[in-house]
Amino acid sequence: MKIKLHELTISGDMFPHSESEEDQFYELSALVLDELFTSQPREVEVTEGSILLGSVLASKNVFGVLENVSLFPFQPRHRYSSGDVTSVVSESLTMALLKDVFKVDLRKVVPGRTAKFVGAFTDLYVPPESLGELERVFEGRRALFVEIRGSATGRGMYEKAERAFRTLEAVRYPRAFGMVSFVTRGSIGLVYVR
Amino acid sequence: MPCEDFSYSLMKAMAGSEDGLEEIKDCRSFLREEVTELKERLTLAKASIKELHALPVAIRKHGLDEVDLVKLAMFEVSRRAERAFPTGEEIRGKRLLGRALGTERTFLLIAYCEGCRGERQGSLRNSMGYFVQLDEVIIAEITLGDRAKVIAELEELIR
Repeated sequence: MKIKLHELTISGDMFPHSESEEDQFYELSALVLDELFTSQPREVEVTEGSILLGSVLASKNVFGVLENVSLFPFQPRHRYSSGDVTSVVSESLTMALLKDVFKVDLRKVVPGRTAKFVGAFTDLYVPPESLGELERVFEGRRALFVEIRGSATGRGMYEKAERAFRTLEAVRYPRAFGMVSFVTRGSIGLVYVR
Repeated sequence: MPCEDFSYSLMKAMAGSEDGLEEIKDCRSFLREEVTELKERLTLAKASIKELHALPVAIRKHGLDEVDLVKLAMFEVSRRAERAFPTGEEIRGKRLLGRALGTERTFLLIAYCEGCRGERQGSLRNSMGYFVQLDEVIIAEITLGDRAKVIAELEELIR
């Protein structure tokens, strides 16, 4: 399955981290999101098996993910799209991307979406030794935290981005790497935070 | 070392393997002592801030780094997993031990094959479905097929 992939690298220092700074998460996330989806995409290939593997590690009980993934861009817009399906599709696609495009070892990751009630954790944790080709993207080898957001309609993306960056910064700051994956109807956007 | 290959153990436990469940239990008992204190510190850190954007520094000030947060999350995930697995109906082949979730002919199969190696994937010939193998774990999504036939075909394909 072919996927359009937008990429953007940003520095984590641009976000506020302490009380002395002004809370500009919303404005900054909106800027990042606009920049991301106006960039030139590249086409990558994701295999069905990796999506299937990802769907088993996803946080919700949705079956038939392969059909759902292929139908995701063609959903009729006059009805609501299911939030559960959207989140499982976005999680599966992101994990498949990590496995196929970046050669991340899916055996060692920690899926954290079911433990979000802890209060400070991201959707996925990738240990430093299994970064694969992401080492070249980040130019280093440290722990990686991945936030995953999906939207079938494209509505509410700015709010989702803001929340994603807030959680990510709470966990990532100051040393580790971060990544936010936005899964939309037509393409996937990856933001690398260093 | 416990808690290595965390999601691999999760998938093995899902398939009904004793080893996988044991690894998850080891991981949880390994983390149990630390976690209580870490949780208290996180609660204190959260209570100490007035505005949400100050959380990153507040967490670090209370002596938690990203590895501690991973430990907390791993503990919670393994706690849920330990209670939940295995689910579904057990299926046994010559080498495969699996769990099927779904109806008689349409189901998701999560299977465990001791000693198998390699990464394979493809579609099945005798029934409609797709399978993927990641070393000892095999996952197959069957849209139409007989359980016995699916297991027999998978055993030919996997080594």
